[in-house]
Amino acid sequence: MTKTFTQHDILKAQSGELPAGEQAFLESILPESIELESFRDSAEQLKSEMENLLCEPGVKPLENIMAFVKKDMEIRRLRV
Amino acid sequence: MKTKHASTDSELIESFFNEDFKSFEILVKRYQSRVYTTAMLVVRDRYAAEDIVQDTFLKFYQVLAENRYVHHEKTGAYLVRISHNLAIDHVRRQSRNPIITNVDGKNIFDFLNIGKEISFDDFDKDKRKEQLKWAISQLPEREREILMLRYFAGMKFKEISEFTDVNMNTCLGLMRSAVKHLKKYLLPKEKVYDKNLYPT
Repeated sequence: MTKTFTQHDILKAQSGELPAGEQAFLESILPESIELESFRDSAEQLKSEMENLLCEPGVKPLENIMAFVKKDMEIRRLRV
Repeated sequence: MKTKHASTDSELIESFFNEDFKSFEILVKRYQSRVYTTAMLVVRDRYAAEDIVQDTFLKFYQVLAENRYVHHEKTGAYLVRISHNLAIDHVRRQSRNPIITNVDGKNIFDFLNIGKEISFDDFDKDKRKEQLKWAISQLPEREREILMLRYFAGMKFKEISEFTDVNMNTCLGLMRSAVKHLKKYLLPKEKVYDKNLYPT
């Protein structure tokens, strides 16, 4: 029996959704497929660069949110 | 003993229902950067993105306070999705207003980089990062949403499929397409040379 791997399998492997046996087999055949290996590299690169893109908002939004929530919780408590 | 910061989302939501104000603050701090970055990647405006952060968490609070929240184990995904939708709404509203563009038709404020100070050393790195952000902002909505849910909310494709009610193969196809669109904005992989063949 043969299995043909696709770019979808690369994505599933990255998210840990490929069965362990298939994952190991995929790793072993990757050097034989320039197309799949290149796609795997891009997906890995994108994953790490997405993490580097994360940035924090200023402190004001958090202060505003918490001020509203605190006030609203008090009003709801009084209503009960 | 487990600290509050180490609590799961479900535990924090449970505490919130027992009127623990602090639990909600921990949830906000836990997810604010993902919510903010999601909005930034769509609207590309710091102040608009901060407004979206506020609106996202206030919607979340409203749903919790009215006991309508059902995504206990998927809070990150839920918040990233609200932020993405609000950001798209913002862009649609903005598109009805005139924007000052240069001869290439690009927003002039993108070039001016107002409010952003970068050191000379970081310039290339920042420039490339900005290009990637710009490229993400130009992705079709559905591709960008899958990208956010996968990388910012850390969801598996099966979970994304259930959460968005989109077939798993379609989710994989959208992600594949996003990777291809963004490929040219990623750092090229460093080539490893055989030192015997190419001595330094």
